[in-house]
Order: sequence, then C-alpha cells, then structure tokens
Amino acid sequence: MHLTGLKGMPRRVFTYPGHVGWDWLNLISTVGAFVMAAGFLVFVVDLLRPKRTKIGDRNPWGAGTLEWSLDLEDDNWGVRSIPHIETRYPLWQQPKLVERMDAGRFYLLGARHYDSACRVCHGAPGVTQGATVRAMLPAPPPIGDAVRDWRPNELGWIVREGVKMSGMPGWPSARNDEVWPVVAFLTRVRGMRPEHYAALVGPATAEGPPGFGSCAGCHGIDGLSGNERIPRLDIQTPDYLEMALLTYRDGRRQSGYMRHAASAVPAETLRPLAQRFGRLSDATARGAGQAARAAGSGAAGAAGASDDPVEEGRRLAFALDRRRDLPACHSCHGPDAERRRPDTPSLSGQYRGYLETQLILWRDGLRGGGPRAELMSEAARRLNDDHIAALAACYSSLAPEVPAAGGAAN
Amino acid sequence: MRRGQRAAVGLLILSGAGGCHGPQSVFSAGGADAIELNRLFAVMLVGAVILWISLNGLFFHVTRRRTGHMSRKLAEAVIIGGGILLPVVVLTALLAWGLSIMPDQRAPGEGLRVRITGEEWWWRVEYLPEGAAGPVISANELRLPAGRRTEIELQAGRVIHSFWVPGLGGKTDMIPGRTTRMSLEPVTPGTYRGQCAEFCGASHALMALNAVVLEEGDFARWLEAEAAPARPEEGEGRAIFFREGCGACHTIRGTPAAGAVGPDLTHFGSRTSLAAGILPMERAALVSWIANAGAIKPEAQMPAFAHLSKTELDRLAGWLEALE
Repeated sequence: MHLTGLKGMPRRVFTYPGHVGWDWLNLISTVGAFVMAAGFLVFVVDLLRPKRTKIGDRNPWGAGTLEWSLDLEDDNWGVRSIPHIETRYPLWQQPKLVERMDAGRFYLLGARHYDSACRVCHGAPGVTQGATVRAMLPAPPPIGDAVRDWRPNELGWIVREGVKMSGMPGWPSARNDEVWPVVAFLTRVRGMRPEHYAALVGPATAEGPPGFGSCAGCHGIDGLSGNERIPRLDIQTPDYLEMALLTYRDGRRQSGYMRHAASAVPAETLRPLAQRFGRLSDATARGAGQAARAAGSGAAGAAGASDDPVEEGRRLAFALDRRRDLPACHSCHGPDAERRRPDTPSLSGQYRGYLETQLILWRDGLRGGGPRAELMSEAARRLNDDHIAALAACYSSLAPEVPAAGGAAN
Repeated sequence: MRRGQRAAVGLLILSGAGGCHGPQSVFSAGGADAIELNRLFAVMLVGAVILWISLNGLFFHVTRRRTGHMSRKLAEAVIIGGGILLPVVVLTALLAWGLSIMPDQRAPGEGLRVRITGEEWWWRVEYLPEGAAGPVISANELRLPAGRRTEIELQAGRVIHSFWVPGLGGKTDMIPGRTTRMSLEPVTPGTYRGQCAEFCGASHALMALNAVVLEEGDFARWLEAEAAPARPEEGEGRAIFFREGCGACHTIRGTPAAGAVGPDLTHFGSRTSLAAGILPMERAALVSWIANAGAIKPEAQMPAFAHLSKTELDRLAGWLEALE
C-alpha cells in the first residue's frame, strides 16, 4: 500500500482506472486484507467456539517452577497440597515431587489429623454428623459447607484461632506453622469421594501394637514418612521416642498434631509404639541412610562449592571455627551414638526441612521438650537463618547411626 | 518451499513496483515541487537502507562474529555515539533540510491565478490572468504554463475534498467556507493525472482530472481560445440541448445556456477526458454518460436522460463534441 500510495493512489476509493498502474500492487494488498480477515476470523471462531473441551496437558512445556504442577481442572489450587520446596525449579530438581503431591503426601498430615480431631463434629466425605453433634448450638456445619466461603488464608486463621462463642476450638499448640497441611486438606475436601477419603485416613497397617497403624499412616511403617514435615523416627532410640511422646502429651513439647495424637491414647500404650518405631537394625540404617543422603545431596549439590551449606553446617556443628557464640552441636547430638544420652535425639539423616523447622522453633522460643530442653533453647538462641539452613543441610546429609544398644535394650 | 514462496512474493512486489512511472505516480515528476519531494524521498530511502544495513551488520557482528565482552569504554562509545549523537545529527540535518524545502512549496505564484473548487464530484476551474476583468471558467481539466509558478486557490462546495496532482506537487485540502492556497511550478510539458485525495462521498473514487502542462506560448494561445465564447454548430443537437433544458445547469458562453450548477461546457470538446477524468472523450462514452450519469458515477447530480432515443443522444453528443 505504501508503494501504491507513491504511485498516487488516494485512500478510500472503491475503484480506479486501469492505466494508472496500481493493479498488481492493489491485488497484493487485497490478498493481504483477506489474510488479515482470516486471522480475525480465527480469533472470532476461537472466541465463540464451545469451551468445554480439555484445554491442554498439565505441563506442556516441561517447566520447572511450582505452579506447573497444577492440573487444570483444579479450581482451588493455591495450597492444595503444600510441598516442601528446596529449589527454585522444584519440578526439575526434585524428582517425583508431582507424583507425591498427587498422592496427597503433603496434605496427608492434615487429612489424618482432621479425621482424628475434627471429623467428630464436622463429619467427613462419607461420614455424617451424629444427632448429638447436630444438637450443638451453634451446630457445627458439615465440612463441605464449612469451607465453602473461605479462602485458604482465612481457613488458616479459623483453624488456628477457632471460632469464639462456639464449640470450635483453636489449634492446640502455640505454633503458627502447623495449620497449613490441614488447610491444604480443607481446600480439597469439598467433593472428595468417600473412598478417596477413606484411603487417605485409614490405618496404614493392621500389624504392630495398638495404634501403630494410625501412627504409621503419617510416619510410615518403617518410620520413614517421605514428608519433610513429618520426622523420620527410625533413627531415634525407643527411649527418646517415648520421652518425646510424653512431652507432647503433656504439652511440654509443642505440636498440635502430636499433642492430639499422643493424648488420644492411654499413656501406657506409648512405650510399645516407641519401641516399634525405634527398633533399627544395621541393615535398615545403612539403606535408609543412603536414601537420606541422596535426598540431602540433591539440594546441597545445587549450591556453589565456595558456600556449600553442608560444609558450612559441618564447620558449625563440629566447632571447626572455634566460634565463641555457637556451641558445637555434635557434642550432644553426634554423630556419635556412644556419647549421646537417651533423651537427646539423633540428627544424622533426619529430613532437612524438619530440622530447619525445629531449629527455628527452638531459636524463637516456641519449642520445649524433655528435661534438657533448656540447654537446647540456650544453644539455639543465637542461630541465624543461614546457620539453621547450613546445619539442617549438614545433618540431613549424614548417614544415620545405629542407636546405642543400651537404649533399645528390650 | 519456503524460500520459493518468498522469492515469488518478492518478484510479485517488484513486478508491481517495477514500473514506478504512471500518469498519477509521484515518480513521474514534472513539477519543481514534485521533483524536490522526490529528492527528499530518495535521500531518506538511501539513508534508511544504509542505516538498516549498518545496524543489522552490527547486530550480526556482535552476536555471531565477535561475541565476547565489549569493553565498557567501547560500549559507552557505541551507545552515546550511535544511540544519541548520530540520531541527533542525522535527524537535525534532515529536519533542517525538510523545513528549508517547505517555503518553496508554498511560494506565491507569478501572474496567473487559478481557482479550483471541489464539487460533487467534479472540479470547477477558473483562470484569473493578471489584470483580467473576470475569470475564464472551465471545468474538470487544469492547464498550466511550464516554467512559471502558478497560484492555486482552493475552495469546496458542500463537503471537503483534497486537490492532488502527484506529478506536480503535494496535496492540499479543500474546505467549504474557506479558501486554501497552494502553488505549482510545472517544468515538463505533458499530461499529469490528479485525483481527489480526501473522502468526499459516494463517488470520491471517481473524481479525477487531467493537468495538462503547456509551453508558455501554447498556454497563452490556449487561454485566449478558452476565454472566447463558443462557436456552436446549428442543427438537431443544439435543438435537443435547449429543448431538454441542459442550459439550466450548464453554461455555454455565446448561447443562452448560462446555468452554473454543473460544469461549464463552452469548450467541452477540447478537453482530454469526460466526467471528471474517468471516461475518454469519445462519442460512445458521452452517449452513455448523458443517458444515465448516475450509473457511471453513483449519486451524481446530473439526471438521467434515458428517455432520449439513441439517435437523439448521438446527435446531442456529436454537437457537444464539436464545442472546441
């Protein structure tokens, strides 16, 4: 059209004489106009065509960031299943993350807690509320109705604070970080099929001492949860585990989940459970340790060699820098099973995310524990976030130890 | 395949643009202004091509040939020199030159003035020679003397138009109630086609005119002849013209026909085109035009004379053609 204009064609004419030499150029412009019109037509057709068809694959570009883990049908995707993220590109660098999210591993904790603590009043998929509960004033709404009008952040507030002047209690612990797996579950509970719910919350196994199936539902039959929010237990002695359960039960150690779980059963049932989880043979220690190392090294290897958090954590834990402000972790926690007291946990091979969370709680004064908790509070007081990340990286990368024979005597 | 298609499209464009010359092309410049505008265009085009090639060459160089780090000093020199200094210098020079051309394009004419009025959809053309008592009225054709700058006054009847003869100079809008002006300095004798360049209604596309540039002497003779009254033949054609009331709208000086609604027909037969530049001055075209002007030029104000017989139309057309 520029060339036709140079050849004297004005705008807005519907015809022109044959001898002015615009014909070929105008033909090209006309073809172009039709091509453009066809383009607009494609847009209009796309605008008007029915949209009920499947939009596309879940992650068509093989992207690495977390939002691409979504499946498109899911409307409530904000915190459907809070995964533990270690890198900026978790879908590339944390293999099996998506499968684990899909399997509900990250709201398993919330689902099982719900089943144990909340179902009594609110019912559950396939579980109706009893008449007595419905006679409460105000009556607790069925869970599908209860979650309908709230966004995830609001659900988090409700779960943490409870509803005053009603029967809805707040979270039974001072911790602020625990409610999100429950919220993740609540965002999924509407429309959940009863059999799916039953599979999520049912006992993991019929074996073991009373209550073991329930514990193993989160902690795993072998004490390996596969979830960074849930500690692995196979590296601890039965004595330590029993002490931990008792401190949870009486509130000296803070966790809404564990306080509920440990208080729901008689105190004398805790010992067999501790023994069941704490029992550990050399073989499983080694195998599990390699697995834990592999898990830890994936993230650790991503960092540069100069500021490798594992190495930095090692220097802190073993006091290689002779710092005057931070006590050496290894003098109580090892790795050195011989020297560790039974009421002091082993940290080697523990999940990195779990270690970080616990260290932050210690540092912030939110965590108590056994008789020597005061020591740990004092030791953790001056840790900063970098120290905590480094220590968690270091201990999670170490091979688990075999618990001292004396501790697991029977 | 792809390359073949691209080559085909390129060839098509070249074949269209190849003959850049045409009766209405800016490249067939026959006026001082058009020649100057052509030079401006050529300089801009060559400059743009040089800049385009240089810039892409630079891109190619830094992305394919020398991909390493550039020193900060060199990078700053490229950014300040090529990104600020060069554009400022080039654009200032072009602006200065472009502005310097503008006054020449609007320079006042010498002697002759021509008043052109845009009508729907034809041109009323009036020549006002220096010292003349009244205008020499014509229509749908502009004749200009070569080698002299002629003042052009532009008016419009009911709606806006724009006067543009690409071969002679730039375009100027014609606005009802206002007189705009321009001037043209033809250099080469010849015929240049012009066209209305602002949408003015249903037949905007059918509103053209020929600008005929004559040597100074030829022009003087032509103007003298144009100023003279018509020497109409007697005969049936003349009878039909007056019987059908054509004189209500058209003037033929030297006869009782003195209408001013439509184009002046005094020397109609000497024009190079019919119906404002859209038909050849031929008997058949004239017959069909008189029979139904609206069929050729939609919404034209001239009524259809379809009730005339073929013979009558032919006689009338023959008589009009003889008005030279």
